[in-house]
This record gives sequence, C-alpha cells and structure tokens, in this order.
Amino acid sequence: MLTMSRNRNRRMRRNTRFAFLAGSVALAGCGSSRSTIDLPLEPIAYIDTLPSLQPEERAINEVTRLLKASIGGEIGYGFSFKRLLGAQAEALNITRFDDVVNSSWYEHRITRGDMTPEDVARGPTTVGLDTSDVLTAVAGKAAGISPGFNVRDARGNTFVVKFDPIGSLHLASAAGVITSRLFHAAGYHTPEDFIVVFDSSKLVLHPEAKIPADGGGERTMTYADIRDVLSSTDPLPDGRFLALASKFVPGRPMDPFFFEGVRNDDPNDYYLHQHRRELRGLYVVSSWLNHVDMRFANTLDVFIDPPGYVRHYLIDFAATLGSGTVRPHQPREGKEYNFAFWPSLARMLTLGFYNKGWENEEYEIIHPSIGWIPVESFAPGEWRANWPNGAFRLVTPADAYWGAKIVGAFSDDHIRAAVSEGGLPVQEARDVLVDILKARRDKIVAYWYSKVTPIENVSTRSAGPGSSRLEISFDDLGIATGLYTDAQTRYIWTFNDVYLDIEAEGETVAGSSERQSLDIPFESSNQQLAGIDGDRATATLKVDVERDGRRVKREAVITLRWEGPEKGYSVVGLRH
Amino acid sequence: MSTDSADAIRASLQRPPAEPPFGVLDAIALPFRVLVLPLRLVGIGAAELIGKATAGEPQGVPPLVQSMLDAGFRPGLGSIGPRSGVAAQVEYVGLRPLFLEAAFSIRTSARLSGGLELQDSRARLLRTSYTFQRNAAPHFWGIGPSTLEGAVTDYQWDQQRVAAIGRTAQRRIVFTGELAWEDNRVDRSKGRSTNMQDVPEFDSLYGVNERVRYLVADMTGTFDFTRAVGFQRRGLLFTIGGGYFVGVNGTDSDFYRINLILQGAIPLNPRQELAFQLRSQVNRGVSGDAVPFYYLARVGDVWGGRAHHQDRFRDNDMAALMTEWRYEVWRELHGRSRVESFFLFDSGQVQQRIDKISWSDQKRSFGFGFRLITAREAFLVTYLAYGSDGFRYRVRFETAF
Repeated sequence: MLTMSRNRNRRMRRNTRFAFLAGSVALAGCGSSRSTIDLPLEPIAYIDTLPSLQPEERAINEVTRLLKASIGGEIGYGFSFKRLLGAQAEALNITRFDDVVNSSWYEHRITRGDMTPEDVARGPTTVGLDTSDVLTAVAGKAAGISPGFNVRDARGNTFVVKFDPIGSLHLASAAGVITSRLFHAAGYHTPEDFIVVFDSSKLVLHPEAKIPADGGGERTMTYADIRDVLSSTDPLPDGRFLALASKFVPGRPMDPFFFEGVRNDDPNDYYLHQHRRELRGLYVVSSWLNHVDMRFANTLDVFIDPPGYVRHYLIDFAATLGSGTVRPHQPREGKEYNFAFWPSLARMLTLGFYNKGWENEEYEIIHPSIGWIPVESFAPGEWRANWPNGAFRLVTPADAYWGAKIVGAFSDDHIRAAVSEGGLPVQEARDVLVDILKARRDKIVAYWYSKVTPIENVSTRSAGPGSSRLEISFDDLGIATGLYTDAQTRYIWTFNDVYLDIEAEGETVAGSSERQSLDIPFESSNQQLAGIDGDRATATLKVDVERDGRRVKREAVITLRWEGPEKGYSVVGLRH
Repeated sequence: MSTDSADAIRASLQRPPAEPPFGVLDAIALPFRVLVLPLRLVGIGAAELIGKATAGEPQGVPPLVQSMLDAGFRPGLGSIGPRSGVAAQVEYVGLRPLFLEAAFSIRTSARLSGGLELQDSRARLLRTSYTFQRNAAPHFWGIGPSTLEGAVTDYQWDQQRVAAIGRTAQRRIVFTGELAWEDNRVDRSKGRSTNMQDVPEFDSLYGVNERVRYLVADMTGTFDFTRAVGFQRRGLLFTIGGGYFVGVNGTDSDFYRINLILQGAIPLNPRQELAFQLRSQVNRGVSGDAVPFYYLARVGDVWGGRAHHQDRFRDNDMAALMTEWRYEVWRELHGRSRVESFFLFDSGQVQQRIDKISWSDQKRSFGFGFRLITAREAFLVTYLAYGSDGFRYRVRFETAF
C-alpha cells in the first residue's frame, strides 16, 4: 500500500518522451525517514492442509440455494453499486505476482510449463476399473440424472458407473472423461474418470446393495434394477456396454462446497469462497469447456485423514462440451441462466421482444457423440453457467486473465491428448472436438488478454551504479501469443519511486524483439541511498497498453524495491 | 501434528484479509442496498418457500392410499361443476371395462357415476353410463346482458343422466355422438343468498322447482388443422356441434342448440404468438316452454369474459372473442416446460337472438397473466383481468383455450 500521497502531473506526451519530474526532493541522506511502500501480505502454500477435526456434514436444500441465487442474488447483483461502477473487489488470496499458491483447492499444473501431453492424458488416474473379473454392483446411483450404479471390482476399488443416453453413445462419457482431464491439468482436484467397456455377464449383485426408492428412502437393489439401467443405454455392437467409471476419491466424502462464504467449522477454510482467485478464475476454464453445470452440486468436499483436512473436488463433468448429460446442449446453455431473472423480466415487459441472441441460433448436432457446442457464437465474457454462481459473479479482468492464462497454456497437443482419452468412436469426431476446443481457447485468450495489460516475467536492468537509465523488460502476452503486432502496440507508463523521490512518465512504442522494454530516465542524487529489505517496496511502475490507438485502461502495476546502488531494483510484485 | 498445534499455527499466521474491508464505496452503496433489500427479501422468501415445499425425500404413498390403489381405487382431487369447490373423488377400476366413480365437494356438490367404457388405441370410444350429479351452489344473475353483479342468487341443480357416447377419430377429424336421457331438477339453494333485487323472479324461470326430462341427441365434429411446433400449437381448430332436446315424461319443451368454436394461433416466432378463440352458441325453442335457464348460453370467465364470474351473463345466444398475446419469458433447461406471459382481451355478449349482438355493446376484459406449459398443454394459468365488474384474479389448472 502506498504510504504517501503526492499530486502528480498526469499529462502524457506523445512518442517516446520522458519527464523527469521530481528527482530533486530534498530528502537525500535521510534514508531512515524516507517513504516506502508496504507490500501486501501473501497467502501461504498448503497452509489449508493443516490438521483439523472433520467438519460436520450439512443439510443442503439444493432448490432453495439455486433459487436464492437466481432471484434474491440476481436482484442484489443487478443493483450492485460496485458492479455498476465497475469497481468489484479483487480476489483476496493472491500473491504479490497476481497468482495463487498451491492449496487444498488448486495446484499449479499446466501453468508450470512442464506438463507433457501424456501427463494431461493421464490426469489424476492411477488404477482403473478391472473389467476382466467380476464386477459387484454395491449400490444404486444416488444423485444425478444419468443412469448408473456403483460397482466394486476385483481389486476392491469402487466406482460410479454412468451410461450414455440411448441414441447418443459416448455423449456424456466422452465429455466427462475429456473435461475431467483438462480440469485436472488446469489445476483443480478431480476424480479419476475412465472410459470402460464391460460384459454385463460380469455383473453380480451384492446382497446388501441398496437403491433409492421411488417413494423415498432406500430399498434392496435387484437384478431388475441393473437391467433397467442397462436398457437405458445402447450396447456396443458386440453386446458389451460402454460407460464412464468414476473412481471414489480417497478420503471421506462429505458434501459439496459452495461458491460463497466459508465452511464455518473448517478452520482451514479462511477466504470467502467468492473472493478466491481459483474459484473466480474457474469461470474462464468452465467457459472454455462449456461446463454449464458448474454449480455447488457438482463439487465435493472430501476429508483427507490423515492428516485431517478438507480437499475440494470438482466432480461430474457429464454436462460439459457438447453434452447436456442426457441430451445435447442447447443454444441457451452457456448464454443464459436456467432461471434468468433479468432477461425474463425484460421479456415480460417487452411483450417477448427482448432477445439475447441465442433464441434464433441454429442448432445442429455436430456429431452424435459430441452433441452441440458453439464456436462462432461463443463470447467468452458473456458465457453463463446454468445457475448463478457467487464467485463467477465477482470475476474481475484480473481474475479472468488469470484463468485465461491457464486456458492459453494448453497447447494443441495437450488438447489432443485429453480428447484421445474420451473414447470417441471416429477420428473425425475427435478432430472436430479438438478444433472446437482450440478455437474456444483462442477466443478466450484473445478476449481476456485484451482486457488487461498482459505483461509477465518482468525484470530490471540498470546500466550500473550512477546510471541515468533504468530498463524494465517484460513479455507482452498480447504480442507473444500473436494477438497483436509490435506496430499496433504502445505502452503508457508512469514511474514513481517514493524512496528515491523519482517520478517519470512516458510512452513507448513496442519493439520488435521478443521481450519488450521500457527505458526509464533515472537520474537522482538519491541513487546512492542504501537498499531496503523486508516486506517493503520503493517504487511502482504502472503500465497501460494501447492497441491500435485504444487504451485498455487497465494498468499492470509493477512493484519494485531499491536494493542499493550496486544491485539496483528488484521486482517484488505484479498486479494486472 | 495435532489439531491444537495446527490451531496455534493458524492463529499466528499473517495472511491477506479473509474478506474485503469495508470501503468508501461500500459506505456509499449502503443506502442503495437498504432500498433494494425488500425486493431481495421477496426473492429470497420465494426461494425459501419453494425450497421448503420441495425439500426432503418424498415420504411415499400413505398406507391407506396404497391399500386403496392395490384394491383398484384411484383417489384424487378435482372439481365437479360450477362453484363446486375442491372435490374429493375416487374411481374404481378393478372391474374394467366397467367403471364406478364418486366425488364430493366442499360445497356439497356430488357426482356418482358408473358404466361401461371401451376405448381403443386410436382414441375410438364407446361409453354407456348412468350419472347422478348435484351442483349445489352455482350462481345466477338473471337473464340478459344488463344484469347487476350484486344481484345474485344460488340454486341447486340435480341431474340424472343415462347416456351412450360414441367417438370415432381420424387423423384430423373427431366425431362424437351422444344419445341420452336426462332428468333435471332445480331448487333454490338452501342457506345461500337470495338477493334478487332487479333480476327476474327466480321462481318464474323455466326449469325451477320442477322436473324437466329430455331425450338428447348430440353430435359434434372437431376439425383439427393444428400442429405442434415446440411449445406452440399452430394452425386452426374448428368445432361445430348441435344438440336436440326433446321433452319427455310430461316435459313440454323441445329445443335445439348449435355450438361453434374457431380457435387458432398466429405465431410471430417460436416464442411469441397471437392466440384467439371465437365462440358462439345458439339455443332455439321449438315448442313448449323452450329452454331451461340453466341451459341458456352464457358469457363469463373462460366463456368469453375473464374479468367476470363464470356464467355471469345468460341468454339464448352468445358470441365471444378471446385473444391472448402469448410470449415466452422462461424455458426450463430440458425444454419440457416453459412460462409464458400473456396479455388477454376478451369481448363477449349474450342476447335473446344472436343478430342483436353488436360490437359496441360487449362485455370486455383486459388482463395480464402467466401460463406454465408442459408439452404444449397449459398446466397452470394465472391472470388478473379488468372489466365492467372490476378486477378479477384467477388461478386455474387449465388454459381458457
């Protein structure tokens, strides 16, 4: 936080011109009394995996929660003062470099840069369902709309087995496995999902297997129940059955996590969920994979004991990509909430003439195994899950940029590797889906990278002690990813060192080299001052990018610390 | 590490705040939030109510009902006739194709029926039945187009009916024929309002305090040129029907009746349409005392006047136009149901002869409502309409047309 204020001349000049404004502040030699900038506190990696007692399971009324979010929540959001001013609070659990730390919610994977396509394809999986031996049906499927049951294999592992709807073999199973792999690579915790093919003659019924009864409660499961489930899907030509097998996650399953608030009896659950960067950024990853069913019911808190902490999973990806689980997705999905309060009101007041655009969209199944997922009409900033989500509502450009960097980190080969795990029946379908995911990825990157000043990997260099120039270099992801050329790009910046009493501002045209640099005049008698240490900084460099003459108006703020005449500056923070 | 040690570590940590600090913008927004709060509370309250109504696992069928079902009885709730109120009904299907049913309402209306019903998969039907029905409290406002809303009385109408109905159905055409013998008896309703004021003397009406018996021959043809497109039924549906009532067993009254209905929908697109229904009925005495008052044509509620009570106006003939501008405001995710709003305009009138009905002397209704539709059938309809009798709000489980 800036601990001093100063009236600054914000007049900008054309071209690469510099202004040396205040280098002569007469405080030289009084280093101990000079101003500094307090660096923000940082989250701590894995601190939320400290041992705790198992939280209580909660009674959750799904209907009430979804409707509250859809009606009361939407009314509040619609009249939100901060939203109307575009002043939503930034996420809280971010590092000084605008990232999150690994935690029970999220672990850096694809963004580490060392994940191979094989790693993506493998995902979280270890040992799959053993279909070579007897499969024991141990329970009916308790939740969800896809038909299925729980089975235990000869190795003793238990899986939820879910089937595709009749006429759409592969639809939900392929989407589930592919998306599970991609969410895992993105950094989220997901179950081990597999495509399995088995012979129904291998199925035996556990004598104590139970199934939810129609009238409520449970009843004993019978072979007729198994036949009912199998009759609700298409068998393969050889008579065997294809399904998605989702392995029970290790630990004690509890209940879903919510996208708002905290679990009060979990001492590790510290940040309000709607202010967690990984949950806000999940919006972008979900939009990429068209996970319109991203709601609390498709999450799971699991108590990992030992050591005793809650890990937060995303589960059930059947309603992703082109699949609506039991049917293909429809044009409204991804464009409007299930119960869209404001659009419904607008339609009501306009005799139905209010139109969001999806109403007239062509709807043609891409392939029976893929369903329908839009590309041309996909608008990354307007994508909506089927239900309002407390974290998604608060997404800021910085959150979305963080999510877009994850999506952008997936190479074509990564995507192809994940799609290959889905068991799609023909190469043509696989190719089409890969192309769709590539196109949506590129749209996301292009859109969200244009909403911030996307600079990364900042470094500084001065020409040496007493030098009058300071060079700040960085990667401009807008140029690095080919969205813009250097000729289209200009940087408008202001530099302010409250310790050395230097202020400068200017504009710099992007260069043709791989890394961009700003050449900042740096002439001050205070350069001989000793460096500072601790959680403090001395300077900020605010950079706003201009593309084709239009400013993004969302500055990247680089925080610098004066390390002394010999070492110059170090970069201690970057926010977008 | 123990949980106590972990607690100590957590307590000693310096981390970013768990929630955003209260800032200047929050302070500025506070009055705004207070203003919006009532609206939010309404939304949250609605969510709580619906959530509670659908909460928990269904408890299953009560043992009594289950044993009734097992024995072939089908219990249910419904309505028997005009102003019957909620009626409990039970049907016995253990001897199909024979059927027996009984219904009793909270306003003491009742229906007992039994007979034989044969129906095939092509919707062809042959049904013979005996029915006793008591309509305990229908309203009567007098005859003619100028009756007063406050001048209402109730009556009790008992009817016994022996009928044979045959129906044959083609793809777009359905013919229904009926032969029946009926015995009607109307008395002033006991314990109800008899504020007659300016309406004609109740006792002087034909059909009151006497038994009126008819042989009835009725034929109706329905020509259905509609097709389902999404949630809409587009095209035209035309119904023409006629009945001949011959007085028997000492009843000196013969008359006939003609019914015409034309309804359709003009779609603007899959989400908006103008739906309409034209309806007319003519009753003509052939000989004797002519038409009993309860068989007169009527206007009111879903008979061409939704700002008015059911059967609010009666006379020999009627004509009415009902229109709705229907448009989708919400669609359920799986496309199985949607909510439509609609603006309604009804205009109808009764007269002694249909040629006296003029456009300038109509009972008009204007209103707005919602329809919850499943599979192109209205499941729940609610509307508020305004007309010469003031405002009227209704919740129905079927659409007007």
